[in-house]
Amino acid sequence: MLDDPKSTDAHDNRGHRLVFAELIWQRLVDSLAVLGTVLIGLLMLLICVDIVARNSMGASLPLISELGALTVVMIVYLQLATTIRADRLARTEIFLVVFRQSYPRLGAMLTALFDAIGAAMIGLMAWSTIRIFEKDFASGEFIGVPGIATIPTWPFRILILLGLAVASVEFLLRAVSALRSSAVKKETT
Amino acid sequence: MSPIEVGGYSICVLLVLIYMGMPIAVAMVSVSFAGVALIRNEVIATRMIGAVANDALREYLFAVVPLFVLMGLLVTVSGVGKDTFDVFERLLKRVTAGLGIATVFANAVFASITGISIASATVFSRVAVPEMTRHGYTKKFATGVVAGSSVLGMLIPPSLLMIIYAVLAEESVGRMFLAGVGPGLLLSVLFCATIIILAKTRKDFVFETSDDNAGYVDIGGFAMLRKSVPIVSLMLLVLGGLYGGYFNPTEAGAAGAFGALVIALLRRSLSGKSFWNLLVETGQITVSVLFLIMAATFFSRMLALSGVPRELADFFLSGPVGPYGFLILYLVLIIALGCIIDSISIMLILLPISLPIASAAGFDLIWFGVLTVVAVEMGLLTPPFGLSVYTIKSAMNDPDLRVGEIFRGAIPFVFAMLVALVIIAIFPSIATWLARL
Repeated sequence: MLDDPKSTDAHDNRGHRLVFAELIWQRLVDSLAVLGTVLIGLLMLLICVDIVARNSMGASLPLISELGALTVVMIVYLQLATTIRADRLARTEIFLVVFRQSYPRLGAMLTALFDAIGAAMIGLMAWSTIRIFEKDFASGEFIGVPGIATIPTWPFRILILLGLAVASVEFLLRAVSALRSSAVKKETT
Repeated sequence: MSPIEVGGYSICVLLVLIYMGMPIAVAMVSVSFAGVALIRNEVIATRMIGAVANDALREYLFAVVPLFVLMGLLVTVSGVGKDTFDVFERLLKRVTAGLGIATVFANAVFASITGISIASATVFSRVAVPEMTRHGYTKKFATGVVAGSSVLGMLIPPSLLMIIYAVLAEESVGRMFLAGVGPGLLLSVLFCATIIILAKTRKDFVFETSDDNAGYVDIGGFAMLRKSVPIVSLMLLVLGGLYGGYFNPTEAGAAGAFGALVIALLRRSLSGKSFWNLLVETGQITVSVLFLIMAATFFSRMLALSGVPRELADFFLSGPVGPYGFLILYLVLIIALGCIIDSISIMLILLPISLPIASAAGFDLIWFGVLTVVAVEMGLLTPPFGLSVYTIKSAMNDPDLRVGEIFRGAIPFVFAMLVALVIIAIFPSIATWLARL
């Protein structure tokens, strides 16, 4: 296939574009993860400041508990894609590992199926988050106490949506690459 | 299909999918989605999946997960564990198998500043095992002691498993923490007894050579005091703040993480790069834990719709099995699952089903939680997937050390835990007395 002189040019070009797209995608996943990581540090500082404020001035800072709760949700969804890529979601390894050794092709297809189901489920979550975002945006949902401090919730919904969408695509890409590796194994065996 | 049938089948399908190696959270979400779609319809299922994804984790309390994990990782690199071990080594050097007992005590104290057993296993496999082998203990015994006593990390507050149980059972986190103290001390005593019995009756299991000629580094009273300061101040900060009424659990986590950061910085054991890596690691552990909690929330809502827990409660409580039969079955199931799945996943799979039954049986849910945690922790030590054992193996970085050897070393401690489980089951007040005070 690679030795075919007529197709190399077009193939090369497509290959370059593919590598480039992969690079951009990786950057996107990584930068969401960096944002999530920074939020962990911020969360710690925010709560510490709140402790000091409450125990020295007798009053809790406004918004902290609601903001803290939303930050936890952000941390999870912003880092979901990178966790999927690192294969850190908890799973058992009794069956699949052995199965993949004895039946590499079927094993890769099963992995692809699992990843595809993951993509579908997280995709559904993203899909129904759109509706929640529209509702929050239209009705001006906010956290906090009016007159003291409030923050609208829709920007958080956008970040949740973004994290879920990216995670879903990441699962899909994994499914595709697992399928591709099963096809390669078919050719070589 | 009736809702009950849907619920029943979905539990079976879930177990098969998990066994086959689907990510546990994905398996739970997809089974729950299909279940709701069959009981009601797809529109409601789609709405539920969105609502759960957006709101299940929106709790201030869940902020403790990243904070306690970060604190655990920070104290791991800060060398506080080594100091604690040094102090106990010095205090117990004249006792039979004193280093083993020192490891247990150091772990019990270290447990009160960390909420994850991986942290304890990592620290003490690097600190205690080399010292024990230098003094002629077998590697099997040395690693077994570390593996066994690392479970104290999840029992003595703060504890990640207790927090997760408290969330699922809607109990107070502060009370669940207190409920772990008695059983944690009981387990420490049983571990020490196990070590002494082994040293007296099975010398070849414990000692490589009969005479220990290796010298002890003598540290004076002042040095001991100095070594105790960081850990004692962290303990005071976290537990004192929590029970003195200054912090809620989330704040205790934040203050603890910050305190651990300050100690690590003061001891110059942390660079900017390594701090960033710890934050990244914290993020990945947090995601896998909280995403699983989200999935379990969906699963328990689906089960509630199906009516399976009510039906099971009827079956167990009014049938020939009875409440205590159910309890025994439940604990055996946990220990069996512990051979396959990690602790947090076991709790998140089983609790949505078993909690309604336990509360229908009139069990004290705090006591039930402590039994759950102890049984779940046995899974950390049992083959083939004992997490603590693998943590020790990778922390030791010693190609001669076989995983099977660590498992064999840990067996006596698994039995000690079983004894503790039975004692706590018979005397609930060990767990509940402090919590209900």
